[in-house]
Amino acid sequence: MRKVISFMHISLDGFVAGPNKEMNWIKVDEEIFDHVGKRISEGDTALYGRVTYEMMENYWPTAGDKPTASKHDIEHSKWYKKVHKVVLSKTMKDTGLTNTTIISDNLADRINEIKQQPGKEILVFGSPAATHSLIQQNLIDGYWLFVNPIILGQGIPLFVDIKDKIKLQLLTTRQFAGGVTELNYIVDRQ
Amino acid sequence: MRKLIMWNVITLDGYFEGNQNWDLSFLNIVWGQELEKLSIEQLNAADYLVFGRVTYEGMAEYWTKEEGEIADLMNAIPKLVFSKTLKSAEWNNTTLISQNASAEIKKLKEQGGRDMYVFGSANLSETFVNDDLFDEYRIGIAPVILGSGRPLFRQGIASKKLSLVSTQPLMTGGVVLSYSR
Repeated sequence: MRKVISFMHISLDGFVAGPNKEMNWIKVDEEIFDHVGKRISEGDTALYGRVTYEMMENYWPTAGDKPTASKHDIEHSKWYKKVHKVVLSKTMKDTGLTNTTIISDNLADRINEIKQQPGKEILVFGSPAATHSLIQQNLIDGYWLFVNPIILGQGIPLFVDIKDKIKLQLLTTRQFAGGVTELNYIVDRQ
Repeated sequence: MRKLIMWNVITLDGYFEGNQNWDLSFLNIVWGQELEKLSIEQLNAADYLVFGRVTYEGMAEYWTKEEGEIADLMNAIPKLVFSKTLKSAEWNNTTLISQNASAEIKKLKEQGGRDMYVFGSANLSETFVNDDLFDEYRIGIAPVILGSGRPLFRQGIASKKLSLVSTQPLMTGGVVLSYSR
């Protein structure tokens, strides 16, 4: 079965954004882009909540065309346009969207359907609200986290309203020159 | 200058204790040779252990009944407990301080000497974070999301940029992240 993996940049105290959605504290440099790019390009499905999806749509489709486009802009823009997108939204309509599936209800059933289909891993990019729903329904199979060297003090937490303990297995860790640590976990369902 | 170092093991969702006082069952997941070695190294390198009242009382109760190398070190090492309500501190080699914790720690840092460690003591630690007194943060992360408990870093704590010193994965699935100011 395909796995749904939460891909998040977090502060040491577990926030994914500041109280006003600030993300300027998140360090993503050349070294991290190269590293995440490899795993991202192996995935064939990206999952977003509506808010993150709108941010992505605003930037990535044309990011590779700017004269100042970085290598990462060009590569990720190409990948973004190709990848199948799943968006969790109760309000969006899917008319006129290519290669995009909207899930507006029956989250567990719809996600499990996708997991049963043949394919690679499904990466959830950021999307804290959607991630909270997925975690609460036990639909997240792994956490691919980038811990930033900062205590934020307040903001949007990654983990919210969790009823039961979730056991994890640490697969890999990696340290980056900018002070970020990658922690790669899968959920231990035994 | 002496360094003030925070050492704690937390769950991935940031709790250093479960909902019940002293629910530290997640510690068992990560404990092993590597953390034992780290604990002994830290205790051998320290001049003081620093506690708030609640952690102090729990630690005193626990360690005075334990045996072994770590217990011997914990029981012998000089300890400071900051509390305005404790009347006496009976654990071996303890100094009870009721005055302003940050002021005392600043004085001790200026004295020079070996490191001071804070274990647990979330309320006291919050004061030290807000007053910018920690020189290092060593955080062991257990491979578990608990859901609820006592957070190490409470909402509203001062924002702090840190510098990553090392990442040490443990054979038990934990990982120790060390940061300096």
